[in-house]
Amino acid sequence: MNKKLRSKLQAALKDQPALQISEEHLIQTMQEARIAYQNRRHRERIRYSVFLLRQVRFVSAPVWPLHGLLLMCAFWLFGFAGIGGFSNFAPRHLPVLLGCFGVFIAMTSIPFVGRSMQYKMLETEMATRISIPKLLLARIFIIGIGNTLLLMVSFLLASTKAELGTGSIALYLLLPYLIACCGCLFIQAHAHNGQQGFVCTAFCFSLAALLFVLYKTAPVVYEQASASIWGALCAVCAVILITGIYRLLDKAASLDLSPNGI
Amino acid sequence: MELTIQELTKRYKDKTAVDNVSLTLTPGVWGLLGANGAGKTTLMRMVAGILTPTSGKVQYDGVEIKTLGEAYRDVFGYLPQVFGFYPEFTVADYLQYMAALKGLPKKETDTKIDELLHTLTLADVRNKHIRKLSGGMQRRVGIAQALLNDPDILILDEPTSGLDPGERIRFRNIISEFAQQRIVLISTHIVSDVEYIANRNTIMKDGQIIAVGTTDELVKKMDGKVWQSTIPAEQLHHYERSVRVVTVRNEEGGNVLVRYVSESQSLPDSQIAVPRLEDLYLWLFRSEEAVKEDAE
Repeated sequence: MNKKLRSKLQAALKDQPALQISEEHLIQTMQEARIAYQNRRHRERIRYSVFLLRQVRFVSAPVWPLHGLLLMCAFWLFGFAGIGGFSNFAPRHLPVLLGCFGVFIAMTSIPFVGRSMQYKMLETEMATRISIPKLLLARIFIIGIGNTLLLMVSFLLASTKAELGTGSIALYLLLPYLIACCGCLFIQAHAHNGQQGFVCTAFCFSLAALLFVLYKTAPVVYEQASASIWGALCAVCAVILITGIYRLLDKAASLDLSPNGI
Repeated sequence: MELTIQELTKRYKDKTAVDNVSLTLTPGVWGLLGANGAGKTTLMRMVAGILTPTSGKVQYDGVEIKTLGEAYRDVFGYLPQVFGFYPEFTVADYLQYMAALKGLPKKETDTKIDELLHTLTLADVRNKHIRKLSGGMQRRVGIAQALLNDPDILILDEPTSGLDPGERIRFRNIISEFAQQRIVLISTHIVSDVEYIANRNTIMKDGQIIAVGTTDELVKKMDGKVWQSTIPAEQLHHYERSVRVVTVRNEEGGNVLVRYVSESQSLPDSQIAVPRLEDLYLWLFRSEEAVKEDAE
Protein backbone atom coordinates (compact mmCIF):
# COMPACT_ATOMS: atom_id res chain seq x y z
CA MET A 1 0.00 0.00 0.00
CA ASN A 2 1.07 3.53 -0.72
CA LYS A 3 2.88 4.86 2.39
CA LYS A 4 1.01 8.16 2.39
CA LEU A 5 -2.31 6.37 2.04
CA ARG A 6 -1.45 3.95 4.84
CA SER A 7 -0.54 6.76 7.26
CA LYS A 8 -3.67 8.68 6.26
CA LEU A 9 -5.85 5.65 6.92
CA GLN A 10 -4.13 5.02 10.25
CA ALA A 11 -4.64 8.65 11.26
CA ALA A 12 -8.30 8.48 10.23
CA LEU A 13 -8.81 5.30 12.25
CA LYS A 14 -7.19 6.84 15.31
CA ASP A 15 -9.67 9.73 15.19
CA GLN A 16 -12.62 7.35 15.23
CA PRO A 17 -14.19 6.41 18.55
CA ALA A 18 -14.09 2.72 19.47
CA LEU A 19 -16.68 0.92 17.36
CA GLN A 20 -18.66 -2.22 17.99
CA ILE A 21 -17.58 -4.40 15.06
CA SER A 22 -20.02 -7.00 13.92
CA GLU A 23 -18.40 -10.31 13.00
CA GLU A 24 -20.72 -10.72 10.03
CA HIS A 25 -19.89 -7.29 8.61
CA LEU A 26 -16.21 -7.87 9.16
CA ILE A 27 -16.30 -11.08 7.12
CA GLN A 28 -18.32 -9.34 4.43
CA THR A 29 -15.84 -6.46 4.29
CA MET A 30 -12.93 -8.91 4.07
CA GLN A 31 -14.60 -10.70 1.18
CA GLU A 32 -15.27 -7.43 -0.64
CA ALA A 33 -11.70 -6.32 -0.03
CA ARG A 34 -10.39 -9.62 -1.41
CA ILE A 35 -12.49 -9.24 -4.56
CA ALA A 36 -11.35 -5.65 -4.99
CA TYR A 37 -7.75 -6.74 -4.52
CA GLN A 38 -8.07 -9.53 -7.07
CA ASN A 39 -9.71 -7.19 -9.58
CA ARG A 40 -7.13 -4.48 -9.07
CA ARG A 41 -5.13 -3.22 -11.96
CA HIS A 42 -1.91 -5.16 -12.03
CA ARG A 43 0.87 -2.65 -11.98
CA GLU A 44 4.45 -3.71 -12.35
CA ARG A 45 6.97 -1.69 -10.42
CA ILE A 46 9.21 0.39 -12.66
CA ARG A 47 12.76 -0.66 -11.90
CA TYR A 48 14.93 2.41 -12.30
CA SER A 49 17.79 0.51 -13.88
CA VAL A 50 15.43 -0.84 -16.55
CA PHE A 51 13.96 2.61 -17.10
CA LEU A 52 17.45 4.07 -17.38
CA LEU A 53 18.46 1.51 -20.00
CA ARG A 54 15.30 2.21 -22.01
CA GLN A 55 16.07 5.92 -21.90
CA VAL A 56 19.57 5.52 -23.37
CA ARG A 57 18.42 5.48 -27.00
CA PHE A 58 16.11 8.49 -26.55
CA VAL A 59 18.53 10.67 -24.61
CA SER A 60 21.63 9.68 -26.54
CA ALA A 61 20.10 10.10 -30.01
CA PRO A 62 20.61 13.86 -30.20
CA VAL A 63 23.62 14.09 -27.84
CA TRP A 64 25.95 11.25 -28.69
CA PRO A 65 26.41 12.20 -32.37
CA LEU A 66 27.66 15.58 -31.13
CA HIS A 67 29.88 13.77 -28.66
CA GLY A 68 31.20 11.66 -31.53
CA LEU A 69 32.03 14.82 -33.44
CA LEU A 70 33.84 16.23 -30.43
CA LEU A 71 35.70 12.95 -30.01
CA MET A 72 37.02 13.27 -33.54
CA CYS A 73 38.01 16.86 -32.77
CA ALA A 74 39.82 15.63 -29.64
CA PHE A 75 41.84 13.18 -31.73
CA TRP A 76 42.55 15.88 -34.28
CA LEU A 77 43.56 18.48 -31.71
CA PHE A 78 45.34 16.42 -29.11
CA GLY A 79 46.02 13.05 -30.65
CA PHE A 80 47.48 13.68 -34.07
CA ALA A 81 49.06 17.03 -33.28
CA GLY A 82 52.49 15.63 -33.78
CA ILE A 83 51.77 14.84 -37.40
CA GLY A 84 52.56 17.29 -40.19
CA GLY A 85 51.49 20.89 -39.89
CA PHE A 86 50.13 20.68 -36.39
CA SER A 87 53.43 19.87 -34.72
CA ASN A 88 54.09 23.45 -33.62
CA PHE A 89 50.46 24.30 -33.04
CA ALA A 90 48.91 22.13 -30.36
CA PRO A 91 51.52 21.90 -27.59
CA ARG A 92 51.96 25.66 -27.32
CA HIS A 93 48.26 26.38 -27.24
CA LEU A 94 47.31 23.31 -25.26
CA PRO A 95 46.02 25.08 -22.10
CA VAL A 96 43.59 27.31 -23.96
CA LEU A 97 42.63 24.51 -26.36
CA LEU A 98 41.81 22.23 -23.44
CA GLY A 99 39.75 24.97 -21.80
CA CYS A 100 37.74 25.71 -24.94
CA PHE A 101 37.26 22.00 -25.51
CA GLY A 102 35.90 21.57 -21.98
CA VAL A 103 33.44 24.39 -22.62
CA PHE A 104 32.28 22.81 -25.90
CA ILE A 105 31.73 19.44 -24.21
CA ALA A 106 29.36 21.13 -21.76
CA MET A 107 27.75 23.21 -24.51
CA THR A 108 26.83 20.21 -26.63
CA SER A 109 25.17 18.31 -23.82
CA ILE A 110 23.85 20.26 -20.82
CA PRO A 111 21.10 22.10 -22.77
CA PHE A 112 19.61 18.68 -23.57
CA VAL A 113 18.78 18.11 -19.91
CA GLY A 114 15.90 20.58 -19.98
CA ARG A 115 14.58 20.05 -23.47
CA SER A 116 11.10 19.02 -22.28
CA MET A 117 10.13 22.68 -21.92
CA GLN A 118 11.68 23.68 -25.22
CA TYR A 119 9.73 21.06 -27.16
CA LYS A 120 6.50 21.35 -25.11
CA MET A 121 6.78 17.79 -23.86
CA LEU A 122 6.72 18.62 -20.17
CA GLU A 123 2.94 18.49 -19.74
CA THR A 124 2.72 15.05 -21.35
CA GLU A 125 5.72 13.77 -19.39
CA MET A 126 4.35 15.06 -16.09
CA ALA A 127 1.17 13.01 -16.53
CA THR A 128 3.07 9.71 -16.75
CA ARG A 129 4.07 7.29 -14.01
CA ILE A 130 7.71 8.22 -13.90
CA SER A 131 8.37 11.46 -12.05
CA ILE A 132 10.12 14.41 -13.69
CA PRO A 133 13.08 14.31 -11.24
CA LYS A 134 13.68 10.65 -12.15
CA LEU A 135 13.51 11.51 -15.84
CA LEU A 136 15.94 14.41 -15.42
CA LEU A 137 18.27 12.23 -13.38
CA ALA A 138 18.29 9.64 -16.17
CA ARG A 139 19.17 12.33 -18.70
CA ILE A 140 21.93 13.75 -16.50
CA PHE A 141 23.33 10.25 -15.99
CA ILE A 142 23.32 9.30 -19.69
CA ILE A 143 24.69 12.67 -20.79
CA GLY A 144 27.24 12.46 -17.99
CA ILE A 145 28.57 9.15 -19.35
CA GLY A 146 29.29 10.78 -22.71
CA ASN A 147 30.88 13.81 -21.08
CA THR A 148 33.07 11.74 -18.78
CA LEU A 149 34.25 9.63 -21.70
CA LEU A 150 35.09 12.71 -23.72
CA LEU A 151 36.91 14.37 -20.85
CA MET A 152 38.91 11.22 -20.18
CA VAL A 153 39.89 10.72 -23.83
CA SER A 154 40.89 14.38 -24.14
CA PHE A 155 42.89 14.12 -20.93
CA LEU A 156 44.70 10.95 -22.02
CA LEU A 157 45.48 12.31 -25.47
CA ALA A 158 46.71 15.62 -24.11
CA SER A 159 48.80 13.83 -21.48
CA THR A 160 50.89 12.28 -24.24
CA LYS A 161 52.21 15.76 -25.04
CA ALA A 162 54.06 15.54 -21.74
CA GLU A 163 54.98 19.25 -21.74
CA LEU A 164 52.32 19.89 -19.14
CA GLY A 165 51.80 17.98 -15.95
CA THR A 166 48.82 15.68 -15.81
CA GLY A 167 47.39 17.72 -12.94
CA SER A 168 47.53 20.91 -15.00
CA ILE A 169 45.90 19.20 -17.96
CA ALA A 170 43.08 18.00 -15.76
CA LEU A 171 42.56 21.48 -14.33
CA TYR A 172 42.69 23.26 -17.71
CA LEU A 173 40.05 20.86 -18.98
CA LEU A 174 37.85 20.60 -15.91
CA LEU A 175 37.51 24.17 -14.66
CA PRO A 176 36.10 25.65 -17.89
CA TYR A 177 33.91 22.54 -18.25
CA LEU A 178 32.50 22.95 -14.75
CA ILE A 179 31.97 26.71 -15.18
CA ALA A 180 30.12 26.04 -18.45
CA CYS A 181 27.99 23.33 -16.79
CA CYS A 182 27.08 25.63 -13.87
CA GLY A 183 26.25 28.47 -16.23
CA CYS A 184 24.13 26.28 -18.51
CA LEU A 185 22.21 24.83 -15.54
CA PHE A 186 21.60 28.33 -14.22
CA ILE A 187 20.36 29.43 -17.65
CA GLN A 188 18.10 26.35 -17.88
CA ALA A 189 16.48 27.36 -14.61
CA HIS A 190 16.10 31.07 -15.29
CA ALA A 191 15.93 31.83 -19.03
CA HIS A 192 12.58 32.26 -20.76
CA ASN A 193 11.05 29.12 -22.22
CA GLY A 194 12.41 28.25 -25.63
CA GLN A 195 15.42 30.55 -25.31
CA GLN A 196 17.56 28.30 -23.14
CA GLY A 197 19.43 26.68 -26.01
CA PHE A 198 20.32 29.98 -27.60
CA VAL A 199 21.38 31.60 -24.33
CA CYS A 200 23.48 28.54 -23.35
CA THR A 201 25.26 28.60 -26.72
CA ALA A 202 25.92 32.34 -26.42
CA PHE A 203 27.19 31.90 -22.86
CA CYS A 204 29.56 29.07 -23.83
CA PHE A 205 30.97 30.92 -26.83
CA SER A 206 31.53 33.95 -24.61
CA LEU A 207 33.29 31.77 -22.06
CA ALA A 208 35.53 30.26 -24.74
CA ALA A 209 36.29 33.75 -26.04
CA LEU A 210 37.13 34.89 -22.50
CA LEU A 211 39.57 31.98 -22.09
CA PHE A 212 41.25 32.95 -25.34
CA VAL A 213 41.45 36.65 -24.36
CA LEU A 214 42.94 35.68 -20.98
CA TYR A 215 45.49 33.50 -22.73
CA LYS A 216 46.50 36.37 -25.00
CA THR A 217 46.39 39.26 -22.51
CA ALA A 218 47.18 37.59 -19.18
CA PRO A 219 49.20 34.43 -19.85
CA VAL A 220 50.08 34.36 -16.15
CA VAL A 221 46.64 32.79 -15.60
CA TYR A 222 47.84 29.66 -17.37
CA GLU A 223 51.18 29.46 -15.62
CA GLN A 224 52.07 26.71 -13.18
CA ALA A 225 51.91 29.18 -10.27
CA SER A 226 48.15 29.63 -10.80
CA ALA A 227 47.44 25.91 -10.57
CA SER A 228 46.37 26.10 -6.93
CA ILE A 229 43.81 28.80 -7.78
CA TRP A 230 42.52 26.67 -10.65
CA GLY A 231 42.24 23.74 -8.27
CA ALA A 232 40.34 25.75 -5.67
CA LEU A 233 38.00 27.14 -8.31
CA CYS A 234 37.44 23.62 -9.61
CA ALA A 235 36.38 22.44 -6.17
CA VAL A 236 34.04 25.43 -5.73
CA CYS A 237 32.49 24.88 -9.18
CA ALA A 238 32.03 21.16 -8.50
CA VAL A 239 30.13 21.99 -5.31
CA ILE A 240 28.04 24.60 -7.15
CA LEU A 241 27.27 22.08 -9.92
CA ILE A 242 26.19 19.35 -7.50
CA THR A 243 24.06 21.86 -5.58
CA GLY A 244 22.62 23.11 -8.88
CA ILE A 245 21.64 19.58 -9.95
CA TYR A 246 20.11 18.91 -6.55
CA ARG A 247 18.11 22.14 -6.70
CA LEU A 248 17.03 21.38 -10.27
CA LEU A 249 15.69 17.97 -9.20
CA ASP A 250 14.09 19.46 -6.10
CA LYS A 251 12.39 22.15 -8.19
CA ALA A 252 11.22 19.53 -10.68
CA ALA A 253 9.61 17.52 -7.87
CA SER A 254 7.20 20.36 -7.12
CA LEU A 255 6.81 21.51 -10.70
CA ASP A 256 3.63 23.33 -11.59
CA LEU A 257 2.37 24.63 -14.91
CA SER A 258 1.80 28.26 -15.70
CA PRO A 259 -1.65 29.52 -16.79
CA ASN A 260 -0.53 30.24 -20.33
CA GLY A 261 0.88 26.81 -20.98
CA ILE A 262 4.46 25.78 -21.56
CA MET B 1 -15.27 4.10 -10.39
CA GLU B 2 -15.70 7.76 -9.60
CA LEU B 3 -13.68 10.92 -10.00
CA THR B 4 -14.83 13.63 -7.65
CA ILE B 5 -13.91 17.26 -8.07
CA GLN B 6 -14.58 19.14 -4.85
CA GLU B 7 -14.74 22.93 -4.70
CA LEU B 8 -11.74 23.26 -6.95
CA THR B 9 -10.32 26.75 -7.36
CA LYS B 10 -7.26 28.02 -9.16
CA ARG B 11 -6.37 31.61 -8.63
CA TYR B 12 -3.52 33.48 -10.27
CA LYS B 13 -2.36 36.94 -9.28
CA ASP B 14 -5.12 38.89 -10.94
CA LYS B 15 -7.38 36.19 -12.28
CA THR B 16 -9.48 33.30 -11.04
CA ALA B 17 -9.15 30.68 -13.76
CA VAL B 18 -11.31 28.05 -12.06
CA ASP B 19 -13.78 29.16 -9.44
CA ASN B 20 -15.13 26.69 -6.87
CA VAL B 21 -15.93 23.89 -9.32
CA SER B 22 -17.56 20.71 -8.01
CA LEU B 23 -18.37 17.76 -10.23
CA THR B 24 -18.58 13.99 -9.96
CA LEU B 25 -17.44 12.08 -13.02
CA THR B 26 -18.69 8.54 -13.51
CA PRO B 27 -17.85 6.09 -16.36
CA GLY B 28 -18.84 7.37 -19.78
CA VAL B 29 -17.89 10.21 -22.07
CA TRP B 30 -18.08 13.66 -20.52
CA GLY B 31 -17.98 16.72 -22.73
CA LEU B 32 -16.46 19.84 -21.23
CA LEU B 33 -17.65 22.75 -23.31
CA GLY B 34 -16.65 26.34 -23.02
CA ALA B 35 -15.25 29.28 -24.92
CA ASN B 36 -11.51 29.94 -25.05
CA GLY B 37 -10.39 31.18 -21.65
CA ALA B 38 -13.34 29.62 -19.81
CA GLY B 39 -10.96 27.63 -17.59
CA LYS B 40 -11.24 24.21 -19.26
CA THR B 41 -7.51 23.59 -19.64
CA THR B 42 -6.77 24.75 -16.09
CA LEU B 43 -9.47 22.43 -14.74
CA MET B 44 -8.14 19.52 -16.80
CA ARG B 45 -4.59 20.12 -15.64
CA MET B 46 -5.74 20.04 -12.03
CA VAL B 47 -7.68 16.82 -12.68
CA ALA B 48 -4.52 15.44 -14.31
CA GLY B 49 -2.59 16.29 -11.15
CA ILE B 50 -0.06 18.45 -12.96
CA LEU B 51 -1.34 21.76 -11.64
CA THR B 52 -1.78 22.40 -7.95
CA PRO B 53 -5.16 23.93 -7.06
CA THR B 54 -5.35 27.03 -4.88
CA SER B 55 -8.08 25.24 -2.92
CA GLY B 56 -10.28 22.18 -3.24
CA LYS B 57 -9.37 18.64 -4.16
CA VAL B 58 -9.76 15.87 -6.71
CA GLN B 59 -10.52 12.36 -5.45
CA TYR B 60 -10.39 9.08 -7.30
CA ASP B 61 -12.65 6.52 -5.66
CA GLY B 62 -12.58 8.53 -2.45
CA VAL B 63 -8.81 8.98 -2.24
CA GLU B 64 -7.14 12.28 -3.08
CA ILE B 65 -5.11 12.01 -6.29
CA LYS B 66 -2.11 13.67 -4.63
CA THR B 67 -2.04 10.81 -2.12
CA LEU B 68 -2.39 8.20 -4.85
CA GLY B 69 0.53 9.69 -6.80
CA GLU B 70 1.99 7.14 -9.22
CA ALA B 71 -0.99 4.81 -8.75
CA TYR B 72 -3.26 7.54 -10.12
CA ARG B 73 -0.99 8.34 -13.04
CA ASP B 74 -0.97 4.64 -13.84
CA VAL B 75 -4.70 4.62 -14.55
CA PHE B 76 -4.57 7.93 -16.31
CA GLY B 77 -4.25 8.96 -19.95
CA TYR B 78 -3.78 12.58 -20.90
CA LEU B 79 -3.61 14.50 -24.13
CA PRO B 80 -2.65 18.13 -23.57
CA GLN B 81 -3.93 20.96 -25.71
CA VAL B 82 -0.47 21.63 -27.10
CA PHE B 83 1.07 18.52 -28.58
CA GLY B 84 4.82 18.51 -28.17
CA PHE B 85 7.45 16.10 -29.46
CA TYR B 86 11.19 15.93 -29.85
CA PRO B 87 12.25 16.73 -33.43
CA GLU B 88 14.26 13.55 -33.91
CA PHE B 89 11.33 11.30 -32.95
CA THR B 90 9.51 9.09 -35.40
CA VAL B 91 5.96 8.01 -34.53
CA ALA B 92 7.27 4.67 -33.22
CA ASP B 93 10.06 6.37 -31.23
CA TYR B 94 7.57 8.73 -29.62
CA LEU B 95 5.24 5.93 -28.57
CA GLN B 96 8.15 3.80 -27.33
CA TYR B 97 9.38 6.78 -25.31
CA MET B 98 5.95 7.41 -23.79
CA ALA B 99 5.50 3.70 -23.06
CA ALA B 100 8.77 3.74 -21.11
CA LEU B 101 7.59 6.75 -19.09
CA LYS B 102 4.28 5.04 -18.41
CA GLY B 103 6.12 1.96 -17.18
CA LEU B 104 4.77 -0.44 -19.80
CA PRO B 105 6.81 -3.65 -19.92
CA LYS B 106 8.93 -3.97 -23.06
CA LYS B 107 7.03 -7.05 -24.28
CA GLU B 108 3.63 -5.37 -24.00
CA THR B 109 4.83 -2.13 -25.56
CA ASP B 110 5.34 -3.39 -29.12
CA THR B 111 1.99 -5.20 -29.21
CA LYS B 112 0.16 -2.19 -27.81
CA ILE B 113 1.85 0.21 -30.23
CA ASP B 114 0.98 -2.00 -33.22
CA GLU B 115 -2.62 -2.19 -32.06
CA LEU B 116 -2.96 1.57 -31.57
CA LEU B 117 -1.23 2.44 -34.84
CA HIS B 118 -3.68 0.17 -36.61
CA THR B 119 -6.73 1.57 -34.77
CA LEU B 120 -5.73 5.15 -35.43
CA THR B 121 -4.65 4.37 -39.02
CA LEU B 122 -1.08 5.45 -38.39
CA ALA B 123 0.58 2.16 -39.32
CA ASP B 124 1.85 3.56 -42.64
CA VAL B 125 3.68 6.41 -40.95
CA ARG B 126 5.12 4.56 -37.98
CA ASN B 127 8.70 5.22 -39.09
CA LYS B 128 8.10 8.77 -40.28
CA HIS B 129 9.33 11.75 -38.31
CA ILE B 130 6.45 13.37 -36.42
CA ARG B 131 7.54 16.81 -37.56
CA LYS B 132 6.81 15.78 -41.15
CA LEU B 133 3.22 14.70 -40.40
CA SER B 134 0.13 16.85 -40.87
CA GLY B 135 -1.50 18.49 -37.83
CA GLY B 136 -4.29 15.91 -37.85
CA MET B 137 -1.85 13.00 -37.89
CA GLN B 138 0.20 14.55 -35.10
CA ARG B 139 -3.00 14.86 -33.06
CA ARG B 140 -3.72 11.17 -33.65
CA VAL B 141 -0.23 10.30 -32.43
CA GLY B 142 -1.08 12.30 -29.31
CA ILE B 143 -4.30 10.34 -28.86
CA ALA B 144 -2.35 7.09 -29.29
CA GLN B 145 0.06 7.99 -26.49
CA ALA B 146 -2.86 8.82 -24.19
CA LEU B 147 -4.31 5.35 -24.81
CA LEU B 148 -1.01 3.47 -24.45
CA ASN B 149 -1.49 2.37 -20.85
CA ASP B 150 -5.14 1.42 -21.38
CA PRO B 151 -6.25 4.09 -18.91
CA ASP B 152 -9.34 4.01 -16.71
CA ILE B 153 -9.48 7.78 -16.85
CA LEU B 154 -8.84 9.52 -20.14
CA ILE B 155 -8.53 13.30 -20.29
CA LEU B 156 -8.38 14.84 -23.75
CA ASP B 157 -7.89 18.57 -24.15
CA GLU B 158 -9.12 19.74 -27.55
CA PRO B 159 -8.49 16.33 -29.13
CA THR B 160 -10.08 17.09 -32.48
CA SER B 161 -8.28 20.32 -33.32
CA GLY B 162 -6.68 19.84 -36.72
CA LEU B 163 -8.63 16.69 -37.57
CA ASP B 164 -10.56 16.58 -40.84
CA PRO B 165 -14.26 15.57 -40.82
CA GLY B 166 -13.49 11.90 -41.55
CA GLU B 167 -10.90 11.77 -38.78
CA ARG B 168 -13.34 13.42 -36.37
CA ILE B 169 -15.95 10.75 -37.01
CA ARG B 170 -13.36 8.00 -36.61
CA PHE B 171 -12.17 9.61 -33.39
CA ARG B 172 -15.71 9.76 -32.00
CA ASN B 173 -16.20 6.08 -32.75
CA ILE B 174 -12.92 5.09 -31.12
CA ILE B 175 -13.73 7.09 -28.00
CA SER B 176 -17.30 5.75 -27.79
CA GLU B 177 -15.96 2.21 -27.97
CA PHE B 178 -13.17 2.94 -25.52
CA ALA B 179 -15.39 4.65 -22.93
CA GLN B 180 -17.09 1.43 -21.77
CA GLN B 181 -16.50 1.31 -18.01
CA ARG B 182 -14.04 4.19 -18.23
CA ILE B 183 -14.19 7.89 -17.52
CA VAL B 184 -13.44 9.99 -20.60
CA LEU B 185 -13.39 13.76 -20.26
CA ILE B 186 -13.16 15.70 -23.51
CA SER B 187 -12.66 19.43 -23.47
CA THR B 188 -13.63 21.30 -26.59
CA HIS B 189 -15.27 24.38 -27.96
CA ILE B 190 -16.50 22.45 -30.98
CA VAL B 191 -19.98 21.35 -29.93
CA SER B 192 -20.43 18.65 -32.56
CA ASP B 193 -17.39 16.79 -31.15
CA VAL B 194 -19.30 15.80 -28.04
CA GLU B 195 -22.94 16.23 -29.03
CA TYR B 196 -23.34 12.65 -30.20
CA ILE B 197 -20.86 10.76 -28.05
CA ALA B 198 -20.97 12.43 -24.64
CA ASN B 199 -23.19 10.81 -22.04
CA ARG B 200 -23.09 14.02 -20.12
CA ASN B 201 -21.96 17.53 -20.88
CA THR B 202 -20.55 20.19 -18.63
CA ILE B 203 -20.51 23.79 -19.73
CA MET B 204 -17.93 26.17 -18.30
CA LYS B 205 -17.93 29.92 -18.36
CA ASP B 206 -15.61 32.33 -16.55
CA GLY B 207 -14.12 29.50 -14.51
CA GLN B 208 -17.44 28.19 -13.28
CA ILE B 209 -19.67 25.32 -14.31
CA ILE B 210 -22.92 26.84 -15.49
CA ALA B 211 -24.70 23.71 -16.73
CA VAL B 212 -24.41 19.94 -16.37
CA GLY B 213 -26.54 17.27 -17.94
CA THR B 214 -27.11 14.91 -20.82
CA THR B 215 -27.37 16.44 -24.26
CA ASP B 216 -31.15 15.95 -24.16
CA GLU B 217 -31.46 17.56 -20.71
CA LEU B 218 -29.39 20.53 -21.72
CA VAL B 219 -31.07 20.95 -25.07
CA LYS B 220 -34.48 20.90 -23.37
CA LYS B 221 -33.57 24.23 -21.79
CA MET B 222 -33.73 25.69 -25.28
CA ASP B 223 -37.26 24.51 -26.01
CA GLY B 224 -39.18 27.41 -27.50
CA LYS B 225 -36.08 29.54 -27.90
CA VAL B 226 -34.83 28.31 -31.29
CA TRP B 227 -36.49 29.72 -34.38
CA GLN B 228 -36.23 29.47 -38.14
CA SER B 229 -37.33 32.05 -40.64
CA THR B 230 -36.91 32.71 -44.35
CA ILE B 231 -36.14 36.35 -45.07
CA PRO B 232 -34.81 38.30 -48.06
CA ALA B 233 -31.01 38.17 -48.11
CA GLU B 234 -30.65 41.97 -48.03
CA GLN B 235 -32.48 42.13 -44.67
CA LEU B 236 -30.10 39.69 -43.01
CA HIS B 237 -27.60 42.36 -41.98
CA HIS B 238 -30.37 44.36 -40.31
CA TYR B 239 -31.66 41.38 -38.30
CA GLU B 240 -28.21 40.14 -37.34
CA ARG B 241 -27.92 43.15 -35.04
CA SER B 242 -30.99 42.25 -33.05
CA VAL B 243 -30.97 38.44 -32.87
CA ARG B 244 -28.37 35.75 -32.20
CA VAL B 245 -28.05 33.94 -35.51
CA VAL B 246 -26.95 30.30 -35.35
CA THR B 247 -26.88 29.45 -39.06
CA VAL B 248 -27.73 31.09 -42.36
CA ARG B 249 -28.50 29.05 -45.47
CA ASN B 250 -28.98 30.51 -48.95
CA GLU B 251 -32.34 29.64 -50.51
CA GLU B 252 -33.73 30.13 -53.98
CA GLY B 253 -35.13 33.51 -55.01
CA GLY B 254 -32.59 35.62 -53.12
CA ASN B 255 -33.85 34.48 -49.71
CA VAL B 256 -31.96 33.07 -46.75
CA LEU B 257 -33.11 30.58 -44.13
CA VAL B 258 -32.06 31.96 -40.76
CA ARG B 259 -31.85 29.86 -37.60
CA TYR B 260 -31.66 32.01 -34.49
CA VAL B 261 -32.05 31.86 -30.73
CA SER B 262 -34.37 34.25 -28.96
CA GLU B 263 -36.80 34.34 -26.03
CA SER B 264 -39.55 35.23 -28.49
CA GLN B 265 -40.17 35.39 -32.20
CA SER B 266 -38.01 38.22 -33.56
CA LEU B 267 -38.14 37.69 -37.33
CA PRO B 268 -41.31 37.66 -39.45
CA ASP B 269 -42.98 34.30 -40.10
CA SER B 270 -40.66 32.46 -37.72
CA GLN B 271 -41.28 28.87 -36.80
CA ILE B 272 -40.08 26.98 -33.74
CA ALA B 273 -37.14 24.68 -34.54
CA VAL B 274 -35.87 21.56 -32.79
CA PRO B 275 -33.05 22.73 -30.50
CA ARG B 276 -29.51 21.36 -30.61
CA LEU B 277 -26.58 21.65 -28.22
CA GLU B 278 -25.02 24.24 -30.49
CA ASP B 279 -28.05 26.51 -29.93
CA LEU B 280 -27.62 26.30 -26.16
CA TYR B 281 -23.91 27.00 -26.51
CA LEU B 282 -24.60 30.11 -28.53
CA TRP B 283 -27.34 31.14 -26.11
CA LEU B 284 -25.00 30.87 -23.14
CA PHE B 285 -21.89 32.34 -24.70
CA ARG B 286 -23.21 35.08 -26.90
CA SER B 287 -25.35 36.77 -24.28
CA GLU B 288 -22.33 38.43 -22.72
CA GLU B 289 -21.01 39.61 -26.06
CA ALA B 290 -24.42 40.93 -27.02
CA VAL B 291 -24.58 42.95 -23.79
CA LYS B 292 -21.13 44.35 -24.50
CA GLU B 293 -22.14 45.24 -28.07
CA ASP B 294 -25.28 46.94 -26.84
CA ALA B 295 -23.28 48.94 -24.34
CA GLU B 296 -20.96 50.13 -27.09
